[in-house]
Amino acid sequence: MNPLSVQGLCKSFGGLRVTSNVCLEVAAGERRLIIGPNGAGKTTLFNLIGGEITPDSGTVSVLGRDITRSPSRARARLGIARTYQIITLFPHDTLIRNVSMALMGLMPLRWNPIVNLNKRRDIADQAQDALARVNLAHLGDRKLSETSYGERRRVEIAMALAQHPRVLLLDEPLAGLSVGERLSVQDLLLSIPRDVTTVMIEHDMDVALRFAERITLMNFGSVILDGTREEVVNAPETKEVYFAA
Amino acid sequence: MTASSFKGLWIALFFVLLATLPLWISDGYYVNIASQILIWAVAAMGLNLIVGYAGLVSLGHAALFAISGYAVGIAMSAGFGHLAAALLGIGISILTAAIFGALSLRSTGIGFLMITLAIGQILWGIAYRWVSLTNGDNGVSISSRPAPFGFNIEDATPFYIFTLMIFALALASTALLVFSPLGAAIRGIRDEPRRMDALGYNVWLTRFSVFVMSGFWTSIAGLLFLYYNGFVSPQVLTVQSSAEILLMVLSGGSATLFGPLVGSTIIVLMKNVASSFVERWSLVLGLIFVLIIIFIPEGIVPGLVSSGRKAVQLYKRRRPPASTGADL
Repeated sequence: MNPLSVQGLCKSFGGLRVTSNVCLEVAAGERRLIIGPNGAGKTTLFNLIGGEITPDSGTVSVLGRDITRSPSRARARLGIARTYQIITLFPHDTLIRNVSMALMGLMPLRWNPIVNLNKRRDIADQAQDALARVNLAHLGDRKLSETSYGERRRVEIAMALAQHPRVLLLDEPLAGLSVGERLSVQDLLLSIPRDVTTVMIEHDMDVALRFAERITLMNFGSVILDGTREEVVNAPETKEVYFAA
Repeated sequence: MTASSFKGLWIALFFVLLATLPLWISDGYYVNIASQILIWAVAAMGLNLIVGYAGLVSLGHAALFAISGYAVGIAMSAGFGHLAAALLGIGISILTAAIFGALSLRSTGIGFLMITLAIGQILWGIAYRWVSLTNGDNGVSISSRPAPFGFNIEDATPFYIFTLMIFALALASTALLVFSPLGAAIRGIRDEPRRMDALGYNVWLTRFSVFVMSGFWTSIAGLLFLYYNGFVSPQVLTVQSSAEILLMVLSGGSATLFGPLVGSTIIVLMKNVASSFVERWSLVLGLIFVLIIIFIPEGIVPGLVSSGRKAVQLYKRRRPPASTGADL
């Protein structure tokens, strides 16, 4: 039973077919890379897996459980966590509060209208631990708006990891980063434990190829190729569709 | 002294000032004005939950404000006592807020605003036209104010103290909510609903719960309004009333604890005091709002706080560094 299974997924926006019969099997502990030119349907696929949009047909399963019609929040509880291509965090809150939001998302505490969140040391400590995993423990009390873009990327990853996901979807985690920041985030990605099955969209092939064991090539909403790193990199379709683009 | 205890001291002093207000202004007319300010501040605090903290602008809250008054007035006409009528009125208001929320939260932004406006207008139409139930244009009235725990609140000062206590309760409950995990979730959903959904939060249900809380405090204010005036009429349900409560929130500063009080002070004073000096007081009120929007679009309270911070920073920058004594 694979942690993530996508079967015959189709999605159209009006007359535009953005995902066409996409199938994806990601094994436990696997690190999968999804590549393809802009507009290939990679982020749409993530949105379909994450539950932000519902498919016209096909199924999405997590650990054998069909979640095709489940809302995003239910998928988060089943162990799907994700980061976004465009950072969507809470700029006026501290880093600890940002990560606390992720922690509380899976706790009944999120409904509590009485307890003072500032006095919940246990939540702050867990958030601090999650920040330490991405080497941001020293910035816990700083507002997100006062951090660099690279640090925000790492906060996104800390938030996703804080939820102890089974399947982690990383949507271009290196986008917009400087060379130094890329190296730092790359090390961070490589340190993600193997019990987390990771699917990543990334255009930086040097980093992505170091990270992934298997690669899925997409174009015009369809899976063109699916195989090991060597198979996909050396395939003529990859050169034609992706590297030429 | 820490920053939080300093803030606590200021709030305590502020409440001492409010509690002793009738001693300073012995004129019952102005004590009643102060009661009105507090009543509308409670209503604005209720609306602030949904507008400021949840980011959903409602133009139908006057209906929730009036419905508790109507319910209590009608229940008392049917022979209920004050307590039973008040409980019934609050219950009906919460139920109405729940229905109101379930319908209007099918949308956000302009859609939400238009649905709240439409439902508000429907309730106004019922209040105006269902004469056998609501007494039409004349509204419903009560013959006396209640006597909570045996205290007579018929006079201006006891009623003001009673209103102040309710105001303090509303403020405390809002503060509790704002600093709670649910409060953080409400603000998170206002800023990034998509992200919050992906993190496991139920966006709709969170918005719905804050809408009901908002309706609760708005209806409590409506109940106080009924006790203050002795009657409630369709005039209270108009779009103008909803817009006034919204302006109280926006002018004072949305998503702030004291903004609604500042906003209600401006509007109530303009309506009751300035109108006796200036015939076209609504023109002056409009001008005040235009000035607020131009110069402090975030509202008076956040504007003053940010100006205060800037002044402190400027003072610190200009102050010469303290001598260490090394050059002596």
